[in-house]
Amino acid sequence: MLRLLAAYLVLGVTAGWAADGDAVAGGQYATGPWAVETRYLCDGDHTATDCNELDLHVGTAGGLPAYLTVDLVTTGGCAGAPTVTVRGLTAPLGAPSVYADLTTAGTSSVRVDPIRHRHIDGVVVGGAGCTDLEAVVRLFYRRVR
Amino acid sequence: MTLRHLLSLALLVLALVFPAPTGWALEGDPVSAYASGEWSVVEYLQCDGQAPVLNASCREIDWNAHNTAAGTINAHPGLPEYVVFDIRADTCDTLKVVGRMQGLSTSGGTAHTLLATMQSGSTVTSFTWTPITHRFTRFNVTTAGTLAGSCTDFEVVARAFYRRVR
Repeated sequence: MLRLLAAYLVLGVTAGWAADGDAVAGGQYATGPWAVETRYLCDGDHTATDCNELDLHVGTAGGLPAYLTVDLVTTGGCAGAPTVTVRGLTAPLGAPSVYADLTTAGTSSVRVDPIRHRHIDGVVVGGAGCTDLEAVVRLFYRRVR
Repeated sequence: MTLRHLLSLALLVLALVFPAPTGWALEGDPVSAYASGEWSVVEYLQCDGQAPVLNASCREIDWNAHNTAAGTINAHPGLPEYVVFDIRADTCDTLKVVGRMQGLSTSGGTAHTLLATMQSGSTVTSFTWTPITHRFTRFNVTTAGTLAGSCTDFEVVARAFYRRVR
């Protein structure tokens, strides 16, 4: 029990950890013609799970953006080279449209311009061993100045 | 009672037993609408039906006429900023439907190919039409899939994006 308490105090509360869909700290800013909102499309080990669906209409502060980009940022601990297939969906769990297959060694970023679907998700293939797989989505909103 | 009366009576009975599916959406109908962020989005059915027929087209959408329903959520000033077409359903089990998106400047006029190949379950399931090039669009079937009655639902949706004034 004491060990658990010590681990808790050292590592901090897990409630503070980011998860799929969460805002990225420091990822919200306005510059030039754009207001930018950054969220995790994937954040976690994802050894056997896909990245949660993100509803851009209700799951983000700004609603549907003008366009978005998704970057595969980190594949920490992965035994191989995982692929994250970024997809758009018109409805939750609906028929997906493939945007791109992201890998760190190949194409690691995709831009969806203009916005095409209300929902996006990521399908992870080859995530064995991953301890930290991160893909971030950056939403670009036109600023009213 | 004449044969004509009997036929009328039979039709009446059929209508009472099998009422008209008034709640069902048809091609050209709006099926979803919401405003979010920069956009006001209205989704229409470009295609909706059973086994698509080779070389036939789903009903045209007139993007001008679809913006004039004053007082409704479909009321927007003119053509949309852009449109995204998706094959949302294709229940043909052995051979998927293949088609092309076409644009027309007049109803029933010369059709111009906007995208040559659309097919479900592939990277060409979706097509973003930007900027707008024609007033009318239609989906033309180039491979009809399984025609022997196994296609129970084939849907192409067209999502029109209108920029919001905030």
